[in-house]
Amino acid sequence: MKILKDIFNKNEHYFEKGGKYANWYPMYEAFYSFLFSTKETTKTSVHVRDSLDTKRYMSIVLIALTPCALFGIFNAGFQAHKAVGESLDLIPVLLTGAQLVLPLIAVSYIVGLGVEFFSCMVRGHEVNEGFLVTGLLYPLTLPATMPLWQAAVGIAFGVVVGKEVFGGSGRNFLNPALTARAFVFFAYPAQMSGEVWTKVMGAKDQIVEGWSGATALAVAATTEAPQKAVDALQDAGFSLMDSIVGIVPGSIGETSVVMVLIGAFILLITGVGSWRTMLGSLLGAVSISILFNLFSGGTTIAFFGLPTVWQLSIGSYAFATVFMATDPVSSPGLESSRFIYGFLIGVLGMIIRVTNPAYPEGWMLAILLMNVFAPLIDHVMLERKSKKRIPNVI
Amino acid sequence: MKSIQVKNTYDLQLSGLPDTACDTVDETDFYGVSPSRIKELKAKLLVKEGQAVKVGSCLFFDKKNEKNVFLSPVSGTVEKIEYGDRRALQNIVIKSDKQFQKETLFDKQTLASIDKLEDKDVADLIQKGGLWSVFTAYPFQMTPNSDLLPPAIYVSIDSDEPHLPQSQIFCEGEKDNFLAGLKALKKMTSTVHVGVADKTKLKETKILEHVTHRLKGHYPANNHGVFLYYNKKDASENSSWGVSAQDVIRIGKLLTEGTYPNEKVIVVAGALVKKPRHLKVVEGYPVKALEKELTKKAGLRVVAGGVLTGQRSSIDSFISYNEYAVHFLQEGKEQEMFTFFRPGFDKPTFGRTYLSALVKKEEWEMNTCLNGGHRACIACGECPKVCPVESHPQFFMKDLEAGDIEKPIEQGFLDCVSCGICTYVCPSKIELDSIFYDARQKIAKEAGV
Repeated sequence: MKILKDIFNKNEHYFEKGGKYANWYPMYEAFYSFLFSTKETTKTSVHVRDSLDTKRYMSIVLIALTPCALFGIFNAGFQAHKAVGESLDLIPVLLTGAQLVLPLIAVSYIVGLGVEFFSCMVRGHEVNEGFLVTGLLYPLTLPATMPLWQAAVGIAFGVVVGKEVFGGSGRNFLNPALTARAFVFFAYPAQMSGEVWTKVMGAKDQIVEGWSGATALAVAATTEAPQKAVDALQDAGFSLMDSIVGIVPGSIGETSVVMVLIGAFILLITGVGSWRTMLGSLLGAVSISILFNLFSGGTTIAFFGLPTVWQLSIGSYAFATVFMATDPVSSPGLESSRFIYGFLIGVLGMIIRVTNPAYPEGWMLAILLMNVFAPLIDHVMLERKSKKRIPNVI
Repeated sequence: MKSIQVKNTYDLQLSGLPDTACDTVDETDFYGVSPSRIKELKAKLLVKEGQAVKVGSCLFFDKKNEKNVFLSPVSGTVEKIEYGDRRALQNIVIKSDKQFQKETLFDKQTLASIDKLEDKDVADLIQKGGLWSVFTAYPFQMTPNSDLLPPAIYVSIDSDEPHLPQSQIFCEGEKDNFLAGLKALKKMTSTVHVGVADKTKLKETKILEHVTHRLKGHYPANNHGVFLYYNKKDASENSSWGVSAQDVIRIGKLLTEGTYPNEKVIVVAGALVKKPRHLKVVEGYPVKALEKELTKKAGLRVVAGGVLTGQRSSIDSFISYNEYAVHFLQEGKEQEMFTFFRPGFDKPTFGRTYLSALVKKEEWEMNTCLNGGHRACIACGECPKVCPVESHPQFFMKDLEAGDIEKPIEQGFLDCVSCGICTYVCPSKIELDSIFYDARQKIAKEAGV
């Protein structure tokens, strides 16, 4: 450990300003600060500093995401085995799941970090820890069937257009993970439509009889009027309990409400995720879904009548609220705006999900749209706050 | 007495809390002052090396504010004048003759005679006495222009910054001086507000009966700027002045004795001090003479003032004007591996991201390590949670970096009291304090202050 530290310290002069490899400084800094705490000291009048840094902040999100990722591995394997009637024992299921999911995560990190390192070197700023989160969030929103090259193109787009063109983490106004997800959604609709998201191993004739592979959302959205959406879901083999636990087809990390709640607990207890955003989103989604229930009848689409509990359990609502909407950089900066922001995400996401047949799920678009409006919400709130102050102007 | 609940305050629980013992120190041969630590000073030197000075002899003044003079705290001869970069006046070292002969600056005043003075006369005496720089003129937090008088003066008796002298110690036996000083302030302006900490240990009833407000909260509830922010009723009070209680005592002493009050109570504190405590010293006392108090001599940071607003000093420096504390902190810390994946029971932090949040610890030993790398703002929202004047440092920072000054001002930027706590909590280690300082200077310049 000491030897490693000495190697870093001995070679620092190559990477400092004016050094032989000064362009590579971001790379050097990233590895060095990943391994060891900084030796930098305070320069200004504030001589002591808090122990929290962005690395700790982001690693808390990674810890919170871990249950979702692990369950995602299990569920991807479970669904694949279920489709072809193979053993549902834990170990084979996990091995299959790992084969499906880990390459996606690896591709996301390798390609994303490559792009991130490159842009940091070109632009001369430090590598930001934000990518550690983006790099895991993004694959968890993908179906396990996603071809690796498509995932790679998506994350490259997300990092470049969602973040680096604006100056890196902290200066982006869109959530980079969702930008990447939106890109693959629009670029490769065949893989992303939400029809069949389970990996079918082997030949088609091995598929178990009666297995459709459709996601709960696809079933609910295509239910024809006289039939109730709940009945359609139950006919297709979905139970409320399965949807909450997460053993249903869907994107890798998004199916399990239980795992998302564990993540939410970690984010809330550490104060890293904004409880206002989460509460706002919950209230928004619940109120719109109740409104839909009130209007549901013979003339409306069957999806309107799906009870709120079902609405919150299927699809990626929980995951989006807890992990995507709470991204601090693309959220509004004020705590009070975050409640409004969350509420509008809940409202918009539910409307898009239920009423727009072109999109299987609404949260990605709702969050991206609200990302764009976040500065406006802040602006209005700041104006209101300034009016309450006793003016102190020159 | 009104009570003010200050919002968003924070207790750092920094180790090395000074003992209530107040010791005297041994005399030394060389005293000195450090003009380089007075912000925005353009010093005009009035003495030469080898020149004899008395306590109260004028050493230099501020070219921008000529009545703001700085007097010698000891008598003897000027030994050395040290210059720093770009010929900035670094230190004036004086060889003490150990007599402390005092130059009479003006006739002694009594409470009754102060009462008969005009407001300008009081200001004139304080200026002659070299104590003009004890005032902080808001909103720019500069030494006030010598021709101006404030709409109100805010006196803060206690100080909650880690660590500054405690009121019960420097007020001991000084109640007459305090009352004389307060009387002088009351001559200078129509309203003087006196604030005391909710948990003050001051028992002196003669002083307490002049208190107008009780300030509730941790750091920086007792900052006079914060006091001003919570107490002001309209915009006319924005240009009020602030002053600390020890300086009121010194003003009283100056007026009643007619000579420069060169003694003050300071604290010597910080993690590297064997026995952190109060000390009664003569201004200009060398920091070097305190070296015997330390547990180690290498790799230390000497801070003149509190650890959140103080300035970097050095072991060869002196306890100069308006400095009431010397801190000795560990410079940096041992690098550790994977620091951000550790449980962190030993890491002091404002939030709950380390398990130290579960530890009920009395105090934390801190060093000058930055504890992270410089990053862009990630809008984590920690800084508004600790801003005592209810503003939003992260938005100010972004606007100021983009060159917009108007918007921050409209949103209350000038209410900022430079307490430094936003910089303390920032996980991206953005130097908000220096960004705000520069912006404030720029605004002051444009406003012609």
